[in-house]
Amino acid sequence: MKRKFKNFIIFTSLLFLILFSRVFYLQVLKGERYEKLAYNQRIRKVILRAPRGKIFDSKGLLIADTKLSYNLSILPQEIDTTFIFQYLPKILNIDVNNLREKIKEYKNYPYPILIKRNLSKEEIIKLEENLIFKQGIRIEINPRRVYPFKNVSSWAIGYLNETSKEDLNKDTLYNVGDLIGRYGIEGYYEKILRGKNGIALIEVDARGKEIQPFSEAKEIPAIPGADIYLSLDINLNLFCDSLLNNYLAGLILGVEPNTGRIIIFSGKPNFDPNIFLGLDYKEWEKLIKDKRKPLFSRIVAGVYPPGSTFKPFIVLHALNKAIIDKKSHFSPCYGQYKIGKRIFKCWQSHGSLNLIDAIAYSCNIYFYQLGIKLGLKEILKLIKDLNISKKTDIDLLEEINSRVPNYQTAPLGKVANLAIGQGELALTPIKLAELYCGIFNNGFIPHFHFLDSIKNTKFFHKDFLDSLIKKNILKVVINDNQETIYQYLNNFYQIPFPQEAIEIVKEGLLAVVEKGTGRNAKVIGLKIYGKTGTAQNPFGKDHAWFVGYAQKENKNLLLVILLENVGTGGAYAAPIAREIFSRYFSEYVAQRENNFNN
Amino acid sequence: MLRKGKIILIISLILIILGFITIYFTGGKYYLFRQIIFFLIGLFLLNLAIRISLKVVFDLSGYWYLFSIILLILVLFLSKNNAKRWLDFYFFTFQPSEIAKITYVLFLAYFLSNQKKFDFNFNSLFLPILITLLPIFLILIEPDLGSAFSFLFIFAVLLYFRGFSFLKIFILYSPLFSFIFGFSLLTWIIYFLVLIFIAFRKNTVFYGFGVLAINSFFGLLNPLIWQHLKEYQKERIIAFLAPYLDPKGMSWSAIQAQIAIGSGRILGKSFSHPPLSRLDFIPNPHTDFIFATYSEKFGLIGVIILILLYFLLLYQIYQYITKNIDLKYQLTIAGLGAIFLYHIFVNLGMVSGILPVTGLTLPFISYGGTSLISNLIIIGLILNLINQ
Repeated sequence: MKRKFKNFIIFTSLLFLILFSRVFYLQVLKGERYEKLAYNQRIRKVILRAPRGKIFDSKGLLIADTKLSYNLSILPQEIDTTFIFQYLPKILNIDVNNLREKIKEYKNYPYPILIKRNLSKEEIIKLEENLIFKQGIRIEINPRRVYPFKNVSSWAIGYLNETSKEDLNKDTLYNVGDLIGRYGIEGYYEKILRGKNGIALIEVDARGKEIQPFSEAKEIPAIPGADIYLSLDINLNLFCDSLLNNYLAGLILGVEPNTGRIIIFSGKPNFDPNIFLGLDYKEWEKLIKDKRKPLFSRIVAGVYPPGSTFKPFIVLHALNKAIIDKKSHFSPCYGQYKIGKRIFKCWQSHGSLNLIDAIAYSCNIYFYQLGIKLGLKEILKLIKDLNISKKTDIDLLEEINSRVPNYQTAPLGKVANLAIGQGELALTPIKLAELYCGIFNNGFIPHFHFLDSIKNTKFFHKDFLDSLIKKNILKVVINDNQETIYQYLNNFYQIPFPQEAIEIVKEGLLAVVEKGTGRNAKVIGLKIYGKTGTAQNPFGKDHAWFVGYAQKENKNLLLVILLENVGTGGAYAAPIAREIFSRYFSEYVAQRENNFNN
Repeated sequence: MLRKGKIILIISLILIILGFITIYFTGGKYYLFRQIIFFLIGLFLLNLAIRISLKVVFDLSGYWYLFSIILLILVLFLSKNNAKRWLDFYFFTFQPSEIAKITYVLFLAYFLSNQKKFDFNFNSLFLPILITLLPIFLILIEPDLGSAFSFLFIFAVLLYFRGFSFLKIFILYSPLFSFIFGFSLLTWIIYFLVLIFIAFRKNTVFYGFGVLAINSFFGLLNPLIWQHLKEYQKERIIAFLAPYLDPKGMSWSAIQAQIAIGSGRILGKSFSHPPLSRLDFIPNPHTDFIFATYSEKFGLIGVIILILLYFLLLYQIYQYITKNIDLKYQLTIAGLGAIFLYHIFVNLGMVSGILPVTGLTLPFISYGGTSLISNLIIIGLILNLINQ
């Protein structure tokens, strides 16, 4: 035991010697430097903000870019409060109370706090002039989001704004002053687009001037976010925006039925996402308080009665149930029809029509009778079969559910109205597009998406990517340049209608554009299917619907157009479809003279 | 009444007073007051520990051990903190792992000394290893890497005093080392060359190859498991096992602690100067990181005094092993001393920046009821043992 004791004491002495040498190194060899660092200087910890991933359109054009900007940050523990509260708001045109609140809230935050983004040259000069007050303020160069196309497709692209206290508590990857995607694609793919901030340690002298990087610790560089490639064609959207110019409110949605890719997502009134980035509260409030609701993404969050655009689905179900066939006639249309004691009207006196013509001329009286013959129970079953109450699950957080009737019994008048798409049924335009994809894609409804692929992913994106791979939404591909790319996997589900029924409905929809209510959508050289609709609006003029589809070789496009408060779909919405189809399929269409050339 | 070990008691009291002074500087009157209360409770329990019949201590050591295992399980369910280390009572919190270290030493010492034949073989080692791994496993789940590893150290010290040579202990622990060195091929090859030399020294060829085979297996486990994990999974495991590490990857608190230590220089800072820890640069300045303030205030002179006091304390404790007493007592003294040695080395190493930040207290100095009271109980038990 004596020997063991001796050895153990030697071992203990060795451990203590190691500790002693370390403290000796810190206190004697490094003592002078550390004393200075502790009392005359400080080490300042600053955030190196990570650039956000870029967003590209399907042609490779940049929709959301990252550039650099000068931002002003302050260190609450070091500031000269007179300067900060008296002069800073004047120089920078910011709200004193906001500033006061922010400084109070983040008093003990270990990093400088961002106060104003995108300083102009004049503002920087003014700040430099007041150099004597500069203690505790920092002008930082940070990445900045830029949307070169401004308002175009802003409902899809969305916007960023500042992280809230909640965000900071929920996710340690964020720092105060970081921007976070709130809406649109910026919001949905936040976890892909965001980068990871780095940290730098800087030695600062007693007056708060930064001297040099702290050499004892390595800087952690910022890691940029991943890049996203979308199915949107931004130039086509720019064109669509111009078509909506004459209307106060409206929307154009364009999708590829055989893939589910969203090509057009255009709407009015919209907003410029750039203005969210300057922390300019006045502009912000103006947008939120705007009565026209530009932040309201009508395509996925607005619900409208489908009107006559719903009729083809009634037909599908009636054919499926063998209640009618292609040649079925009902009592002729004399412009009005009596159900019980009420008179129901048609927009024209059509006479006796077969099924195809009833679709083509959108005869209400035909559909009142078909609806009553089908019965409420069957119509409700149709609504259920079509999954109308379910969301399309497009990659936008704003999507809401469509509204479906919640009754089981109803008077005949109500049933008749339901058959022409009026009443308690109200669809989001995106849902209507999904239903029509079922017709034009032979019963297969695609899962809608903006995302085509993701590139330049980093390890911290892994969780979100894995969750998408697990849901069978993404697959991993290695391209020729040995880059890892996450590609969208097209998914479909089937609606329960036989092919023959779908073919008959398609024939009717072709007749709509050839000779019926949708003649205004006709483009020479293209076979265009369509359906007009007029959504009754108790508050003003009716909303005009047009749903159109064209296909040529491997190109196909389904359009859903809605113009608020203008009148009938055939007169207003169908011509817009014509312009878009002739541009989209321009290589197949004989050039007309007055084609849009911008 | 105490015939032996007065010096041990005196050194402990000096250390506690140094702790009081430092706690006053970092935490103020409130923490000092509470620490004095803990001290008084500790003195009472120290008294009990001196007087308690050793027959009760050892004959019931299995139950003590079981009791602390139950506490370690309870803490996993009852603790409301993120790291499930403390049981919350109304006016103080209690850390079961501190008590578990003591009961573990008592039980293992009792167990090892009762085995007539104790050799480097499966029959001898199976149960002791099980007794060791059980608390380690429970504490790793909490998670508290620092405390969990202390059991490995204590076990090694007990094996050493039970008759194992340093080399045998090394070979026993070699799979763990192999796993750790497996992080990079170069470190592992160097380690493996050393191991070949050790494994074939004094051992049969068959035995040597066995050791190497087991080591190769554990060495391979590291690249196979760890390096196969994705970056974010690794990050998560590290964050789980060592939550004190800065989530952003830069150990800000460690850097600040080193600056505080360095700024003390040789003579320390005047007492009128507010310590850096008051500026919120250092987390837990009065508990785990108290050494930063201590060395800032007392300088290198103070650090030398502190290290000498600790050395003297350990020397005084371990010298009783050489006295002609029961093996059971010898092993218990060795184990209890090892608790101190581990805490001192890991805490000072962590604050001065040579070991990762784990969250262990500095014996007698750090603020904290469980820590101070269990330290005093250990002193009481040691005094009891050496006075038999």
